[in-house]
Amino acid sequence: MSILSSKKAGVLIVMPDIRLDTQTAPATDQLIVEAIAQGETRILVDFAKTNYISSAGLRVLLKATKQLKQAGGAFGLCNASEQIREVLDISGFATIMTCYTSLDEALQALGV
Amino acid sequence: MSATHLRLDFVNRPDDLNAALDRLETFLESAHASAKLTYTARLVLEELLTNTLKYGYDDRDAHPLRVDFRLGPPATLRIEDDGHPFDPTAQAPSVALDAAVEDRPIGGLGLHMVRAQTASLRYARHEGINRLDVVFLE
Repeated sequence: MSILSSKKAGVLIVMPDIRLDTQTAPATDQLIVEAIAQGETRILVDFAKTNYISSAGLRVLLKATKQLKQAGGAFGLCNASEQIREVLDISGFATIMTCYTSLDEALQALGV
Repeated sequence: MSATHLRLDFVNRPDDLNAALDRLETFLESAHASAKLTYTARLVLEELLTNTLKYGYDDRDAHPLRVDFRLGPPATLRIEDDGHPFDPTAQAPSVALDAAVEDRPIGGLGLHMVRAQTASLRYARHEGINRLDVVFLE
């Protein structure tokens, strides 16, 4: 299990592995929390490699959304599969965080 | 003809649960189940058993968990554990789906997703065992 992260256009891109679930959520959460503590204000979660998210993963996204909103920053998602989009819809998350269709589109919206 | 029934016996340890989730997914993939069912079955089992592992026991002993998955149609899942009596069909944590970001509780989503993704949930407690029967949507 590994999480990749990189920075483009002032946006920290976090790319979870195949699953963002009970097992992998803590490491992803820690990465995002530490990035915000170090001053990151624009964070994008790229689901290019991810095909599964459970409520444990959703909690990580919700926490990041709240923290970045408080900090006056920006948060977004991109490249969600059809199944992940459905989970975002069912959980109501689709209304509180933006899911961009591609990395380019997300960077244009979130980037500086 | 591949098998249409999968039984998993394991104990209440996170690593064992994760191995069980992987076995369920592999079973569904080799049965050529739809992507939707493959996702939902794993999700429902993860959400329900993560709750059981977190809140089901007072001691640190190993407790048996039994899962029976049948392809159907409709696909069904039976989960049995000897944890505290817990009826997930009676608990109704209201998820504030339309609340502003600041007002949303972190957590409480798992059961909501289980309900939204299944046709029915039936609970029974018998001789110290919780038994939950799940029927998936077609």
